[in-house]
Amino acid sequence: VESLGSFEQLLLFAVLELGEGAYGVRIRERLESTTGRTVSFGAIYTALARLEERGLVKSWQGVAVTEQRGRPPKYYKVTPTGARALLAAYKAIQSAATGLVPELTRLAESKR
Amino acid sequence: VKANRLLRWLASVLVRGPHAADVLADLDQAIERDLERGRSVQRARWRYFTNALTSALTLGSERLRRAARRLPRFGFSLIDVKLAVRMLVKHPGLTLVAVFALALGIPTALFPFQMINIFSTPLPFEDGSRIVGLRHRVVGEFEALRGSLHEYQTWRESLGSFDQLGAASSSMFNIIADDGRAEPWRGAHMSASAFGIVRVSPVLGRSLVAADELPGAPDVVVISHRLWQSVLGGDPAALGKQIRVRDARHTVVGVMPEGFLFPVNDDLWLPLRAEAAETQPGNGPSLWIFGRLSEGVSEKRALDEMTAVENGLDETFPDVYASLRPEIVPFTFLITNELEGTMWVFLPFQIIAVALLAVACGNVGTLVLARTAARSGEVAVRTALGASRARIVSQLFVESLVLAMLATGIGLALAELVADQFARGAASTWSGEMSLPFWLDFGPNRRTVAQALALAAFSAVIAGVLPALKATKRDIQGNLQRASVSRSGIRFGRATTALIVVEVALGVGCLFASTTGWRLVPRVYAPASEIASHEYLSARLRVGDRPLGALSPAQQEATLGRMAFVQGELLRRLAAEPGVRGVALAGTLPGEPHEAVGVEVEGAPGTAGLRWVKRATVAVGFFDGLGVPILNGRDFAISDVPARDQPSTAVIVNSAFVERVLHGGNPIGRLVRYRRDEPLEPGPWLEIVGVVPDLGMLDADGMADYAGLYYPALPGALDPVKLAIHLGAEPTGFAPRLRAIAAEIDPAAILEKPVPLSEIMSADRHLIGWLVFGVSVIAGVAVLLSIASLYALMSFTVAQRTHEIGIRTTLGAEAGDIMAVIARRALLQLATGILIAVTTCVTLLVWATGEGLRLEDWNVNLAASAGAVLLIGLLACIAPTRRGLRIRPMDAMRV
Repeated sequence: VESLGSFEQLLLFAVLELGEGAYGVRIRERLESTTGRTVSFGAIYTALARLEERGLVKSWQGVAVTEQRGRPPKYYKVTPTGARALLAAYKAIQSAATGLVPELTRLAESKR
Repeated sequence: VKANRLLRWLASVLVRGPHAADVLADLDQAIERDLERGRSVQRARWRYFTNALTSALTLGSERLRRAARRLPRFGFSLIDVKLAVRMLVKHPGLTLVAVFALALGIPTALFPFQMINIFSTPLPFEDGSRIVGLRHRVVGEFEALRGSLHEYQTWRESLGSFDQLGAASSSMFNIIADDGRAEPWRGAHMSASAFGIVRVSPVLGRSLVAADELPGAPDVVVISHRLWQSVLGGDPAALGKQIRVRDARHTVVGVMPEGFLFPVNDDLWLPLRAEAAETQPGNGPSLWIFGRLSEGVSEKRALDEMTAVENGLDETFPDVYASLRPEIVPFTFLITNELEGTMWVFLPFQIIAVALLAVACGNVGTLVLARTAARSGEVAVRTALGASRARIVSQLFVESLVLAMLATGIGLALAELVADQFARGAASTWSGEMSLPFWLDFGPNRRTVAQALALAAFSAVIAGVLPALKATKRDIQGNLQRASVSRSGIRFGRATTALIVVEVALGVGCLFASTTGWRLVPRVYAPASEIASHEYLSARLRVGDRPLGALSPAQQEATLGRMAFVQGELLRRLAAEPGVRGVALAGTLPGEPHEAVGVEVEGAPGTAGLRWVKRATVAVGFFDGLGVPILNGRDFAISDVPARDQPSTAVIVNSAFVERVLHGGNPIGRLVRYRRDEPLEPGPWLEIVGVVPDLGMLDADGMADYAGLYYPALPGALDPVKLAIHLGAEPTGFAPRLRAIAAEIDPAAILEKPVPLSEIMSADRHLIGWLVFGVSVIAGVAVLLSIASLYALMSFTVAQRTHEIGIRTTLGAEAGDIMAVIARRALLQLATGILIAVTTCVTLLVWATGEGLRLEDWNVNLAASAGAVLLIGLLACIAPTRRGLRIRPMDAMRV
């Protein structure tokens, strides 16, 4: 199973969540709302291109709709391989965290 | 209200790459949605801008990463090295030229690095880099000060960062034999602790101990191995013997091991004793203060401690210490004090040297390219058989690397030889007070070797990889086709043309500089031919331990009084000495660099009348002693010099002064005065009473004879004073007698550098000689490379245009036409290079001779240099041209 960086994991979750409507602007908004950080389009497309090279997502060019202005967006979708990789990564972090959350919370909230 | 035009234009400029269109479209959409969500226009635009900027950065770095991945992967194997060696043997001409060029080019490029290496090596003692110097620097100025006894004592008592602190000051001492012969040796007053700091033990007896420093302790001396050999004949029973140092007998208590000459080049060590008055801040002798950092203490921590101590000093003695800041430097910097600050002057030389090496490598590259061109068929076949471009490039790189390594080895060996010669010359020309520190090692050290290897790699890249990339650029198909018709797709481009022109110009320029240089060397730093300078013994006589400026007024008075006595007595005794025909005394002798002063001539006031001229202070009878005629007016008389503190009003000028400052006319009776910087009043008017020939009033470079004036002085007004004694042939034979006389008059008077007047600046002439040697080396390389490149270019042209020449011959072209085809480009480059060099040299020389450079016949030299390069260039053209002329139409058609 392919290993994933943390940004890649977040990106895959965002694409998954948006379903059929996953394209640049939406993905970015989703990422910003889940992480609270601003992300550039450049970073998103670079990461998506790499994921696509590894077969974890696939993309297709959207069709121009008359009422839409500008270039039609490129849509993305998580592939089964991508889903397996994301699931593995999620399970790994989950099993690593098992039983440790209270301790982690306590440590994070302590003053020093 | 969307992103305005400026923002969109900016984004389109910044965001590049495969996803640029997507990103730009999304940016447009994002700003709309931002506005829909109620963000202010400004805020939305700001988000647009930052997003575009970070997108550009991410996409840019991604492109770089991908490009890097596409780069050829270079791999080496032993077989490459084997092939490379075979190739070097197969083309001996190319190998010879390339190795010669790089073997000289790499050490030349290393030279400035080496200067820095030499001066920054640590002392050759156990853990030598932990021996550091302590000193003050004037805040806001470039000047570093030596230490005083007060600082030494304060630091010794208060600093805990050092195992021990020591101090030393170096000067000249006469060692006087029982028969009165005096010999000056360099020695140091040194604290006993210094021996512990350097961790060197004597081979005989003991080193100095703290008890020796107490007032009233017996006079003892520790001597160097070579002094022991020279003065005591290496007597194993030397301990306890007495030698006379200046006026007192000292007991020898120890002999140091061979090669130990700490702190600079010292042969005897006397205890450092302090008189109470000398330990006041700002008083006493100037010292080098040094110590060994304690185990585990960093330089920074030691400096922090020093700074803390300094704050106390600032408060107690504000007038001495307030404007000073303490610092810790490597010990060697204490001695090479002035050099340390001037290290940066080597930087431009370094850049020039590396640039020259790059030009040389470029040229070797041209040769390699020519050879690679001959092999482009081979390259094509290998490519067709599946060799990647990287594989071929790395093989060609290994070839040039092997070449460069070979050259580096030879170059380093040469450098070692030259350094050895230089050091030998340096030891004999710089001696006594001027001697070089014993730890200076001019030869290549570990750092030099590392730098040389780096330069070799650099050379190999320029000479190997660049041509290889060029040679492998063509498509396989084309190269295979060309291979079948034995032609190559490689061309000599504009860069090669420029390189050859530069090389030819450099060749002519350096050849001219070196031939002129060799002719100039005997003329620089030489007194004018009016003086029979080889018949004179010159020497420097000094009575004070330290320069006059470092003494208190009372001490100055005492020193000058002693000097007056010594000088008067010396003149009296020399006059009675058989064989002495005359004596001249001056602050500066002819042939030495003279100080410059600004003068103003009466009748030409204001800054327009200000001229910079040279000045020498001379004793009455100076011109007579040198046998120089007074051309006009009279010589100085005793009445011209009223008293030491009363300035004289008479001056004598040289012919150049009459010509260039007064512009002819009768100079006698005209008035001049010294001009100082604006706020200061000009000096009193001085009357010109006489004119003498130009005797050699030189500038620091020793080349040009300047306009100048002579100013009279009383005996004893100068310390040190320079003597020129007229003796006839072999004047140096008189030196021991002169020393004995001086030591009899005053055992502490030091007589240094008794050499013929013609040799007075031999050290500097020696340096100039080395400089000329360096230029000659560069000249040789430049000429050789330009010729080799021309040859390669022409051979290449002939090979490439065989076909064309064949057709031309068939169509009835004459030999002359064919020659023009072959040689036109090479001749054009040769001519351009020579023209550039000649124009530059003529411009420079017309200017320099106008400034008084002693070089009247440069045009002959320049013509000869240009002619030589032209001739060699034409010779290089002969063989390829003949090859071209021999082409038969049938041969050309057959291929």
